[in-house]
Parts: sequence; structure tokens; C-alpha cells
Amino acid sequence: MTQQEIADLCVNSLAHTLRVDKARIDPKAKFNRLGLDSAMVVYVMMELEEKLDLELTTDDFYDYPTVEELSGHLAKLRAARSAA
Amino acid sequence: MDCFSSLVALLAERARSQRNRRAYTFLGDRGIEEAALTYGELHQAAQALAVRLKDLAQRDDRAVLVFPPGLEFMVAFFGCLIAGIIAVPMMMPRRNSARDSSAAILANCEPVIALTTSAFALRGDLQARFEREGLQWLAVGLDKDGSHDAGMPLPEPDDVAFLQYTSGSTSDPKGVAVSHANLLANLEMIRLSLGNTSRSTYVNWVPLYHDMGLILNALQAFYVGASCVLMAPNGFMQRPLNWLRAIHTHKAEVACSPNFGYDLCVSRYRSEQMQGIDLSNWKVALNGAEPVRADTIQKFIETFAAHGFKSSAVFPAYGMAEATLLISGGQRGAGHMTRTASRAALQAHRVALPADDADAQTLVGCGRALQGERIAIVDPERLRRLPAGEVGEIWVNGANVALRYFRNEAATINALHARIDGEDEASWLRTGDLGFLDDAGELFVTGRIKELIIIRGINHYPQDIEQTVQRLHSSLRQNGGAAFSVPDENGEEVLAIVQEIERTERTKIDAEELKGLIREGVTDQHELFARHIELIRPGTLPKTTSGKIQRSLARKLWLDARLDLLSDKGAD
Repeated sequence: MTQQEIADLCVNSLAHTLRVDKARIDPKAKFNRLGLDSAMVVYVMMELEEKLDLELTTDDFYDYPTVEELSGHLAKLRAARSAA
Repeated sequence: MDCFSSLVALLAERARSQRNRRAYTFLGDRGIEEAALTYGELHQAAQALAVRLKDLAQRDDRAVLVFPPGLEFMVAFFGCLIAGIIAVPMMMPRRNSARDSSAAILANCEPVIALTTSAFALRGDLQARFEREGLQWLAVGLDKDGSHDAGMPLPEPDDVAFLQYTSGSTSDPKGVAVSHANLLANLEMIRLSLGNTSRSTYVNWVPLYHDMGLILNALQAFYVGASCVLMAPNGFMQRPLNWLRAIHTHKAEVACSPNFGYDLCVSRYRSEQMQGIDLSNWKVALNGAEPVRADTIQKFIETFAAHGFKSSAVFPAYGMAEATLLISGGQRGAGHMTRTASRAALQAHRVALPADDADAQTLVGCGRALQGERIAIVDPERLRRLPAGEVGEIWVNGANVALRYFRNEAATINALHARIDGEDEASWLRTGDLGFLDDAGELFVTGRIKELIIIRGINHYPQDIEQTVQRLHSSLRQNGGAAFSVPDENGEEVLAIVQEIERTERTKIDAEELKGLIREGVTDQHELFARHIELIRPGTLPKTTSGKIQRSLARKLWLDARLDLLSDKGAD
């Protein structure tokens, strides 16, 4: 899965959790700017864990606080796993 | 049950008669057992802490309890009770938040000491925050040796055991002063209503700084001499099915949650993760702390019946910190009852049959008054009692109702010492909630007078959110905003904000940028998603002649799409 595909997954999950149109999710916007509260972070995290088969923590969302940064981080995690 | 003068006397008795019985077990985020205390060990650790506290604080001084999930909180709580120090449980301040309710609570209760775990005492931002308040830290562990009698006088029944700050805005914090007599009265009422015994194992994920987690779970289990398994709240939020797995593993009889927790279990249900999980031993699935929804209950029963969950275990309840915790509840094994009423009539505070299907709203009964307690439905303006079947404010009288708020006499007189016009001198709690009683005394909660926003079981005050918004940008008019909750497409409460823009800024502002700023500010300060934000023209927010914001009218205008929006495209 490419980083772009992962970014699309993130956008879908955010739009679904916030119940807004996908077009409104700016990949460069910080998650708190989108209004994502800590319970919603957990919902999005669960969905990404399931779809990407990764184990994540909520800290990932604070350390990589935009779709762009998070998808880059997730792509690296997946690459590191397939290399191992 | 035998009569005790305080929880301290009861703890000594548990430590004597059930010394090696497991009192508390803690499961970490992944559901693995991380710590445990027997009644004997709990008593020893609490006594050791009480001895340390004696050197640092006087009786009736306050101590704030700021703990990550774990059993140290219970040691700290009982240690304070033994030493006669008034415990003040507090939510852990958030990492990034500049301001929150903790500052207002500290200013109101003026603690002399803060208790936490040694690991948390190291968190830099916490140290800085409490240092500013001149607070001394004390790290609490689970040390099980060094048993010595603290040799302190037992508390009297009317002594304050702890302060519960779940109500009151930042500008007017209200710490319910819960006495030992209040606690023992409510714990006995809960025991009778839930039908608990020493075999009633609990599994709880609700945080201990929340009254539902502390009183209904941790203290009720202790009161009946049962065992209580505590889960990390975050672990539940991430993997709600682990709660059900723990209920199965520990053969728990009682497990409680606000309504949203049951929804979460249904939405996270995966049959392959639930193989072999048997919920048939679960006798009381209490649902409280936020409005109880009929469709949530129905879906939960349908989803988990295949795993042995019995509909008779459903246990809707109603309560609040001012009544120590529980106000009404059903009977173990009786299940829940519903009633269909007209939505339009309920909005006008009347009970009537629905005109058609679209007008039908299903209400869930929240049980009846507890043993030794009275519930009255009262006209909130004329202060006269209303008959069964009529909607009014819910009032409560009983030994579980706190005598006062800590250092807030006006609120005490208004909310805790109310009188019903034309009746005896009994003193009543005004809950600020609306409801009615049926002919059999079943309580139906239908709405709220107080302008409180309850989301995921946590109370939020509109004035706090409005103030946050108005501090964000100079174009956002002071005293020109309203925050309220509206139902989303599933009927759950979500946050809506309307805010006036300053006249001089009207043409200059970037509306989308401002809405983003508001969303971010509210998320950071209040842990809430502002689902709807509307910017309106100056002077158009409804206010009374004295300038008070009319939030319920603003809400109605929002629902009817009749607000004077800044731009015509406006809708968020």
C-alpha cells in the first residue's frame, strides 16, 4: 500500500468519525484543528489498526498530528515490518 | 447489613473478617492483570499512608487525588479517610491544555497536598502546574508491609469524607461535600436496589475520579465485601470487548457504564473476538450517568444474546453527585421498562400519547426511589408538587443527599435546601432535570432545565465553552455566544456553538479560518468536538432584557434554521 493509499484511508476514517464530507479534510490540517477529540482519536486509531494490520497508540496521533505526517509514519511502519 | 459509623470502621472490619479476600484487581490497557490488593493489604497500605499524612496536614485539610488508572487511588482515598483529610478526586490535567477546570477546583478547595503515584510525580508539566499552586506532592505506592495502627480517632458520621466536583462551571465550581453518613446511606440503598452480596464481583472501566466509577463500583464492591476488577478507562475505549471478556473471565455479576459504553461495545462487536465468551453470569448491567436510550439497550441485547446476555440484566438508573450517587434504580433481574410518548408534547413538558409514528419517542424508565428516599416532581417556578404523569423538576429527599457544597453557600441554599410550597419543612435537592413519575412510582427523565451539556457521561458547562471561544480572537464578541447540545442523526447529543462577530470586523474576517480556530480551541480545552459552529451578526443572539444569554431560545432558532447568519451559505 502506498503512502497515498494510506492517506486516503486516514481521510475516509476521519470523515466518517467526524461525519463530514471527505473534501473538508485537509491533509495538512492538524487533527485538533479538525476537531478530533481524544475519544475520536481512539475510533480512528482502531479503524486504521484493523485496516493496516498495525498496532498503534494514541501518541502516534500527537507525534504525527496531520494526515500527511501520520500516513508517512504508517507507511514506514509497514515497510519496516515487511523488511523484517 | 450491620451498621457502621464510617467507611473507616468498615475497612477495619473487612481487614479483620476478610483479610485475605481480594478487594481490588487492576487490569492494564491490554487486559493483563497488573496489580492486586487484598482487604488486609488495602488496610495496611492506607494506614501507612495515613501516618505519613498526619505529619503533613491537619484533620479537615484537603488533599487532591490525581492518579493514572491503577489501585494507588484506592490506597490514597482510604488513607485520607483514616487521617481525616478530605479527599478531592481530580481528573488528570491534559498534556496540552493551558487552562481547565482544575485551577477553579484548586482555588475553591485550597488543598495543602497533592497525592499521586511516584511515576506521575515525575511528569514535568504536572510538577510545574502544582508548584505554581504551592502544593506539596506525596507519592503513594501499594506498600503492603509496615503494618501499624494509625491510632487516629474514627470519623463521625457527619464528617466530610470527600468532595466531588462534577457539577458547577469554572466560574462557579461546586464541590459536593459528601459525609460518611451520606456515603453509608447511599451504599446501603445501592446494595438493596442491585441486590448485591459478597459474591457480587464487579468489573469496572469507569474512571475513579468519576462518581460512577468510585461509588457505584469501587466503594459498593468494598461495602458488600465483594471483589472489584478495575480496568484502565483508555483500555476500554480502545478495546471495549475486553470489558466483556473480563466480565466473562472473572464471572462478574455487576458491570456498569454510561449509555455510550454499551453503544461502543455494539459498534466494536466482532464475532471472532468474542468466541467462547459467556455473559450469562452478568446479573446487573447498570446504565446511568447520561440519558439512557431505548435503542442502545435493544441493540445491546440483540448483539450479545448469543453470548448468554440476558435482557433481565438491563438496569437503567438515574443519579448525581449531590445525592452521593444513585437516586433511582430498579430491581435485580427485573429488566427495563419503556413507554412511548409524544415527542412534541414532551418538548412542551407534557406527557401525551404520540399523534403518529413520527411523533413517537420511546422513554426508558430509570427505576423508582431507593429505600428510605423520596422523589417528588415539582413545578420549578411555583415550587408546588405535581401529580403522577405530569412533567416537572425532579426533587430528592433522603439521607444520601449532601448537606452542602464546599464554600458555596448560595448554591447550597438554592439547590440542596429547597422547600416544596405548602408542605412540611423537609429539605430537598433540586436536580435541575425534568421528568415524571408514573402511577407505580417509576421515574422517567425527559429533559433538563439546567443548561448542562452531557457528552460521553461527562458534564460540560456552556459558559465555560463560550468563554474559551471568546478568548480565541478579538473579532469574537464577548458575551455574544451560546453553546448547547443538539441531537445528531442517531439522537445522541453533540455540541453546537453560535457566536456573534464584532461589527467592525464583519467584513474583514475569514469565516472558515475562525471556525477552524474555534474547533481547535474547544477540542484542546474541553476534549469536545464542536460539530456545528455558526457565526452570526452582532446583536442577534437572543438575550433577556438584563443581558442574560437565552441558550434554549438560541438552540431553538438553530434547530429551526432561523439564526441570522453572517453569510448566506453559512451552514457548517
